[in-house]
Amino acid sequence: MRRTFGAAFVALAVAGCGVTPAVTPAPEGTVAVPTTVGTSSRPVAVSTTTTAAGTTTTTVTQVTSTTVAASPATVPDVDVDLSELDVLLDEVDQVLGSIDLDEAEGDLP
Amino acid sequence: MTRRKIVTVALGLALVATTPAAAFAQVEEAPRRPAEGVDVGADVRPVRDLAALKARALEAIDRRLQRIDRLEEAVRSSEHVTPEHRDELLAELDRAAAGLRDLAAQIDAAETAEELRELIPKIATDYRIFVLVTPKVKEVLVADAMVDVADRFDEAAEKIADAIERAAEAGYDVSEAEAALERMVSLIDQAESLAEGVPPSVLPLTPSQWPDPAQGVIREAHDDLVEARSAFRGARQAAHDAVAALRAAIGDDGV
Repeated sequence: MRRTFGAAFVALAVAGCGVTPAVTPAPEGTVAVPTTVGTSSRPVAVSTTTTAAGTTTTTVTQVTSTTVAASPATVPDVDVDLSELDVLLDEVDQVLGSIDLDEAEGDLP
Repeated sequence: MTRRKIVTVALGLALVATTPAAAFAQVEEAPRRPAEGVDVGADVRPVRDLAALKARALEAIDRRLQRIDRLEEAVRSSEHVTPEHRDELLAELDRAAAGLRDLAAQIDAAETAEELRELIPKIATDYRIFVLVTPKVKEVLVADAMVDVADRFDEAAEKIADAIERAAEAGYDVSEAEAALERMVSLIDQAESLAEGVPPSVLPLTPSQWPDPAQGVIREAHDDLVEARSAFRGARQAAHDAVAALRAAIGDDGV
């Protein structure tokens, strides 16, 4: 959530303020946000200054030197439904458990 | 008492007394009929004993036919059995059922104890429905199900691999997730390999191969399936571990 907000903010900064932040557009047309490997720290620093003449300048600065290509919005999707595997294994267990190797042809007269 | 009746009584006694244990190899001993139940002085008793013997033999055949029906139903309703294995199993079950019905007709038509003594053991020796056919059918069904299960596990592994790749591209540390995924894939391969070997080993077995080598092959196949199931359980755990590791690597951002 915070990451999404951050990305939106950066996108606004890029689109609305006419500055060139240290980010690279991702293939999907979103803004690729630099990040830090293995952490969830904020990837960029954003500062806004206003001159006496009333011109506002927004600067986006990359905090770390690691720039990634993917959009963070696609990264957190790690949901893999494993429940089907449990069901299948239960089926296997039932049949396997029904095999009686000690059964005999012991009912003959 | 006529000579013919005396002969019949003697044959009846001989059947009760001499039915060889060897003829029922692998067959549990049936409850013994009381010796005093055969009265050589009674005119009708031997005929009654033959009829009772026939009835019990026919019941034994009927139990096998019922088992075959259940096995056929299991094969037909299996969602996992391959078409080749299904056809082969159903053909074998059909042959066994036809043979047992023919044997039942012979037993029903038998007029002497000598004939019954020859026919009855065939119920076990010629078909081995309980000790061989039943586990064979179930083992093939389980093995084919496991191969199917392996495919589903592979699909899950691919999804996990995709998630890991995305996270890696984003710069997250995915080494733990990758190690778990590697374990998962290795265990799937192991399980699938064990399961795939079962049908070719048990399907060719025939009743004439019981107990050696059929009994050993059936047990070995069962052991392989148990080991394969264990590998699948390990793979399932590895899958959970991979997903958990991935979530941990992404942290709050992944929520």
